[in-house]
Amino acid sequence: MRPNKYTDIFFGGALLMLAMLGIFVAIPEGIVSPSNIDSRAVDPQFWPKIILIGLALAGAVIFIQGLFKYRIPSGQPLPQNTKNNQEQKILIESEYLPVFIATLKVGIATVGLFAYYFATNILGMIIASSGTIIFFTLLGGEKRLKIIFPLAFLLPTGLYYFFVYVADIPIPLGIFEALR
Amino acid sequence: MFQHLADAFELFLSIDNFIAVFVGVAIGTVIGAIPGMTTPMAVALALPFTFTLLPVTGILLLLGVYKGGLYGGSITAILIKTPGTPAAACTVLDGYPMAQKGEARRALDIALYASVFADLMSNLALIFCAGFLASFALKFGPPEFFTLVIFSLTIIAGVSGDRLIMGAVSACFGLLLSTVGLDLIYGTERFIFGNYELMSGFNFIPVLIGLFALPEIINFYAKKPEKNKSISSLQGSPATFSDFRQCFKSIFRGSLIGVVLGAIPGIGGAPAAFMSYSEARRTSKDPSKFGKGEIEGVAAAEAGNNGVAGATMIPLLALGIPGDVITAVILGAFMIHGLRPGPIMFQENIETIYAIFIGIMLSSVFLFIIGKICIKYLSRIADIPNRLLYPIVLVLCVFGAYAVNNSMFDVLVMIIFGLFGYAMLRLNVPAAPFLIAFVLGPLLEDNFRQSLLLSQGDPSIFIRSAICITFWILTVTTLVFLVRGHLKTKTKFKPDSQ
Repeated sequence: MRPNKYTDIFFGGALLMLAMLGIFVAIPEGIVSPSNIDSRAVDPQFWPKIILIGLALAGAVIFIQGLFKYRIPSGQPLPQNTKNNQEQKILIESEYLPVFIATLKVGIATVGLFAYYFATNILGMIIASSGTIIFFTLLGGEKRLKIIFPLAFLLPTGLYYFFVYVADIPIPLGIFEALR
Repeated sequence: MFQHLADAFELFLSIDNFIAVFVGVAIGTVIGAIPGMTTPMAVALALPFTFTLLPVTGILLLLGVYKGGLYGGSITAILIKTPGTPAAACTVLDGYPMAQKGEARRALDIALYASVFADLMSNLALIFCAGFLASFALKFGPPEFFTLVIFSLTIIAGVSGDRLIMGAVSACFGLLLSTVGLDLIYGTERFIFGNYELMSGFNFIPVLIGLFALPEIINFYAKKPEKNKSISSLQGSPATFSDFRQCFKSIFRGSLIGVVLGAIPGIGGAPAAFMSYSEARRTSKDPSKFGKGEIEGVAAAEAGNNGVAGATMIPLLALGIPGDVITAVILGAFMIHGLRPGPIMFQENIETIYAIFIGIMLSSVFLFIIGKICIKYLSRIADIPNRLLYPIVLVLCVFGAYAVNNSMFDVLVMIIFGLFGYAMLRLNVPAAPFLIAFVLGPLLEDNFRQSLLLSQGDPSIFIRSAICITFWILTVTTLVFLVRGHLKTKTKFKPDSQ
């Protein structure tokens, strides 16, 4: 992500709004205060309020920094340090895929993560993990099936045996629970 | 004293402990040698495998991973110009040019000798200083602990990257999320919203794995396909004793720098490595050789980097304050095994601490053996493509997060924190202050409220003792230096400053 002044303005503004929501909505709704408190400072609401005020202040600073940042008139050469900084950022950017493809692939990976979670509940951890390994290795560009399939079988099975028989931790098997 | 030592030896002398230290160092070295895998990630992934081990065995395994990881980072730094860990970035400066000149073996050898020597120095510092500091910390009450934690948070926020404010945001989120669960004093609900699984708050391990492993995995899919890495072969002759003697001054100085910086919460290995390197260069007869394949540069960087390993354990064991992310994970491991580091542990579980000291000394020996024997194989580890590695790590993450409480809710928490961590990564918000604030948050709040309960609401309790005043002065001084340094950097970047 190439940082620009809008990134800071949006991020600072979002933090500010989040902190306000926390102070005026989440704390009154989400924290139960006993009625017999002598000092406000020991109230369960006090500490989260202090933190959210800190977050609001940080958000405000980022917002203001965004407003005053990168005010270099176009056409004017960049100073050396800034230039190096920009070059460094461009170098990092060149590691990334074009924005649309990167967003799409990250979106698919995110869906894959949640699919893994839900599949574990239904199919159990071994099958879900095998499917996940196949899915994510293919998404990453690996094409050698002779590596993918043994890996997808051996790793989850090995981990299952370690956790169940060595660590004595029952690993969920989902609909295959009866086979245990 | 001798009785405690005898008890500690009895506790330590078990084959399990020897295996744990050896396996830990081996895992750490392997993971440290893989670009894209970090030492905190390695420690986090190893943590669930220690649940069923005895406390000393489990903690020694994690310490082995930590130490191995610090050294392992230097292998790819030298061979493929890609530091396995951020702390090994300095090793690249002279290590890679040495490899290009056909002296890869010599560079790797001197990196190993410097690492082992610095590690030993750091362990000795830990053994001699932790007990002294812990006996001093026995005088601490809630107000002193509160000011100590405030001071620690200030330092951590200060080294959280190039934007101080982002570190503060990250720490605020960490503190806020540490308040979720039942209130520490009144037992009332906080941010639970009817979800009973949140009553004990977010579990540390899913949060840790989510923040440190998942974002790297997700981020991998936003990147272009990997290029083939050009690995320098292990050519050239090994380092000799005269090489070690030539570099000894730099190694010794670098180790001391590492020990001092490591003992201060929040500094970490990378600044120690760079400071050690720049000192070696400054005092060298021919500084122009540095950066072009100077063996002393590699030795100095590695000594500084590894000198922090034992020293970061000093504030953890003596005060219960983690100095960096890895010691925060190790603090979590102590707590999982029913131990709470700090001055009280020195009174109640001194044999456990001594057993850990013995194991830590052994880890340096194993580091040397593993480094010497396996270097040939370790250098090939960088060949493993991330497209295969990251799905493996993902599965390990899920098994690990689940194993904490046998709960799929923890897996969900890990995924959500992983996405949160990815957003932080893309917005340049550092994750380390989040985690350390998340760990220190309950300690901070608990001591704050206990102090006020003791003083019946009078805030002057926080400036009553000399220890509190000292910590306030240190906090203010640190903040002034941080803000001044930050403003200086800003001024340098102003367009009209040229």
